[in-house]
Order: sequence, then C-alpha cells, then structure tokens
Amino acid sequence: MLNDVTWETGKQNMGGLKDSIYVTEADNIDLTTPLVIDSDGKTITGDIVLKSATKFKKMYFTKGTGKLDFNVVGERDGKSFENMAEYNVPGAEPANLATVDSMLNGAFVAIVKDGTNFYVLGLSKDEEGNVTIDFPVYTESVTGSTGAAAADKRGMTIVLKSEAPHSPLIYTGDIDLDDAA
Amino acid sequence: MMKPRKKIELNKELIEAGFKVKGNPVSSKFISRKFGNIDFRTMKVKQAESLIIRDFPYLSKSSKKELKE
Repeated sequence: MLNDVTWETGKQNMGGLKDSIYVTEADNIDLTTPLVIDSDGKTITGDIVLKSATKFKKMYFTKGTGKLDFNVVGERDGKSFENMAEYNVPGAEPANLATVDSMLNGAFVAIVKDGTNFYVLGLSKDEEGNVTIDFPVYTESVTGSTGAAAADKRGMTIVLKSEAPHSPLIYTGDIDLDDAA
Repeated sequence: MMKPRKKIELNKELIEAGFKVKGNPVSSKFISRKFGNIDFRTMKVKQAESLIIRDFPYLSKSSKKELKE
C-alpha cells in the first residue's frame, strides 16, 4: 500500500517506550476468532483473545531505557524486518530472574507502548491480510550485571526480537490481564 | 456467532448498585488504550459511573425504577 507520506504540524512526537511491556506465550493466543487488519493495512482491530487461564504478564522496565527498533534486513528482493524491543529491568529479584530464565527458549507475543500507539511483536500479517503467529517473539539477548561501582547499573537489559515481513503492527484493542477460566 | 470469552466477574457492590456488564470484554481485568486499567472485581461505583459517562462500552446501569421492579 503506497500512500502519500504526511505529517501534521504540531503533532506530538515524543520518543521512548512508556507504561510496561506485556508478554504472553504464543501458544496462549486464541485465533479461532480471527483478528482483522484495518483498511490502513497496519492496525489490528478487535481484541487479542487469550485461551482460558492465561493472560499477558505485565513487565516493569526503567523509564528512559525502553525502545522499539524495526530495521530492514536481507538482500534486494528478499528484504524483511527485524522488530526488536529493548528495555532494562532493574535489580536482581528472584521472580524477575526466573522470568528471564523461562523466556530464553520459547515463543512469545509482546505488546509495547510509546507515546502514541501500542505495537504488537509476534503477530504478523500475511499476503492475504490474515493475522498469524507465524513469526513469534524470541529472546534475542539478556545482558545482566551487578555493576562494579556504586553508581553502576544493576540489572538486566533484555532484547526481544521478532522477524516479520513488515514493521510492527499497531494494536488498538484491550490487553487481557486476567488468567481466570 | 461471536465466541464466548472468559467468565466475567463483576463485584457485589456494583451489582447491588445496578451495574451490569454488557458486550464482550476480553476478561474481568484488562488494560484499555482509552479507559486505562479496568478490573471488574475491584472497581468502585464512582469509577463505574465515570466510565459510563465516558462511553465505556462494557458497562450499563439500571435506573432506580428498574432496580425496584
């Protein structure tokens, strides 16, 4: 979809991720009621429905450290995107360390928020416009440290990555935080 | 036909005040881009009334007359 590229003067355009990172296992996504892409070609309309007894986990990050990068990779006529969320989790809380351990080798869907939009990583759009979990999120790296000096950073920098044929999809639905049946 | 989602639980205080869940919310606790943090289990009457005024799609309130009937 080739559009005019526009920008409205005076529109807010602040950098950085805000709120929290929301993550769930890719297997938790229930696509029996298919998600639909808006006519803009980028926005998922409706809610991401999760299976019974599952929810999105809400993950705190240090504000000013969260960003979403989406970079083109590949050769001419074979290009695609790497969509990556990077953020810092402070400290070395046992529950946080255990969460990182459990995310090392698994497939996920993540939602991040900047000043304007929610973005979904791990859900993608195929050529027919169907929303699929063909390219879920994986943990790309975790860099943890206690630091050495008192002023050093103590915590973990986490990078989540999904490969997709397009830049991240925008999400306007609700984020399920309830793991009831 | 829309597939039923998770069971929605509205707290007793809201039920007694005449509130009902309508539509098909994703669950009892969720984040809405427009309305923020929603938790039907812990929501207070004041928040519920405020949401209805702002056209929240998942709550309705019966009138006092309807409640008496």
